[in-house]
Amino acid sequence: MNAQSPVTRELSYAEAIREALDLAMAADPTVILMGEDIGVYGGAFQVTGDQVHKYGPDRVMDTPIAELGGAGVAVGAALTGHKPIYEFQFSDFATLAMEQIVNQAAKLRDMLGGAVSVPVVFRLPAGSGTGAAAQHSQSLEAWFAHVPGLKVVQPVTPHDAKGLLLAALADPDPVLIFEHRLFYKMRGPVPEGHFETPIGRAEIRRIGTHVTFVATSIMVHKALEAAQTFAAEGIEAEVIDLRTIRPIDRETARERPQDGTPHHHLRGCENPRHGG
Amino acid sequence: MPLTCARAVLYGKADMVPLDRPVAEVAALAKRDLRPGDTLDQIGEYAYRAWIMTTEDARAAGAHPCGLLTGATVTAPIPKGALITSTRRGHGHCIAKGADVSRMFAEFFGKETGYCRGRGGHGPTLIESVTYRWRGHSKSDRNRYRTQEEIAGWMARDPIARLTATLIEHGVLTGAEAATIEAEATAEITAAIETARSAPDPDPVEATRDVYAWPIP
Repeated sequence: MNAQSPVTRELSYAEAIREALDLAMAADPTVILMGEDIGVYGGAFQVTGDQVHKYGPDRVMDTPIAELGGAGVAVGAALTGHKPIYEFQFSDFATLAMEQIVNQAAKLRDMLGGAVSVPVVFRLPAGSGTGAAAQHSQSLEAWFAHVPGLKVVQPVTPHDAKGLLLAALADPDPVLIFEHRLFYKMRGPVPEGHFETPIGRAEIRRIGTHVTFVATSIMVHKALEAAQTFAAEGIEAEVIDLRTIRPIDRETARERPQDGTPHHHLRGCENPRHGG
Repeated sequence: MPLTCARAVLYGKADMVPLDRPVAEVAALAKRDLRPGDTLDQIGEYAYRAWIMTTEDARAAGAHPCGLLTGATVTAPIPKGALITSTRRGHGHCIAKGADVSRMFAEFFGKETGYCRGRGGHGPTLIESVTYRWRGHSKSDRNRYRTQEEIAGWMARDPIARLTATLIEHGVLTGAEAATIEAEATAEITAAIETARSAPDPDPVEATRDVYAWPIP
């Protein structure tokens, strides 16, 4: 942070996302919000909140329970000069929209020789831990990270939830933001005004020399908890928050202590083990 | 859902069966006191909720279909819980929603300038052009799903050949001119293929050039 750092307040993760949406909507008339129940209801996790009253139903569009169609409209809007942010009610329902995300959004720039940009942003509440059962608790981000043409981010703090959303909007390529549902009420410092958290840059959350945890999403917080337990036993753990899983910041993730001490490198993410 | 799909596809059983006459109608009740001049919001919002009635009861009561209420203007007070009614006359609603009266009358008289081009409310005009591909879907397609007779029948109806014949018949085109057009088209395609063949191959590093706006690791 430089000397001109803006004022920082405590916000919840959901409030931080809403602030980013609000800033983007106010600054750029091509930004539109789409998703199921994001209008008057304010979103399944109350992220969009009052945006429909501020910007009207033409820019905060309640879409039918038809993810393939909704995502298709979002991709088409992105191709024709808009910056749509499409919210899946649960990331699990992105399975219904795979054609538009994987075969269209990810491919169109390459298929058309670089003549088009697809600046669409998908927001996907993800992860387990809320007792929402098997069809509402998955971590599918690895699927999307596998697809050339897509960028995939997983903010773990209110600060990064805002910064990565604003960076995603500024990015000319499709970006998927996986938001862990247990994060929405988490509070933390968030600077006022516009700032971007760079896509593709990992963040070192704790410095340590004996062992390194490279983690994503909620496992970053679990790794930090584990590091506290280790510290009581004299083991200092480094915790690296990968933050973006495509492109991946291999340089930071591979960092090793320079003094040659024996070192373990552990990885943690909430995906199923196979192919995760 | 999977059970419904299986039942329909494997056992030919419908999940819901339409009857041969209207049986029920979805009307609406006011959620709150509605005053003249109020504009009704959408289904699921704050002004009204759906209410199912038999068709006879709905007609007798003048119940207004729930699905047509969005954006409607209230003309008389409706207390909370009361049925929302209307005259159910389509032209009245059209005028209230700002329709052009002369186009409405043109429709009524079956004129081309009517709202439905005088076709009696059947909506837009659909043009279906049925065509047929001579060859398989790909080189590996062995056409096992169609007969040689079927293919030959369609080839005889080929629109290009028929247009050429019609133009020659009417003296617009001569047989020699038609042959020249075909030869020119063939030459153009042949030249394009040759040009493409002799063009340089792309550099392998170009393979990922347009995957993202800028290169990523």
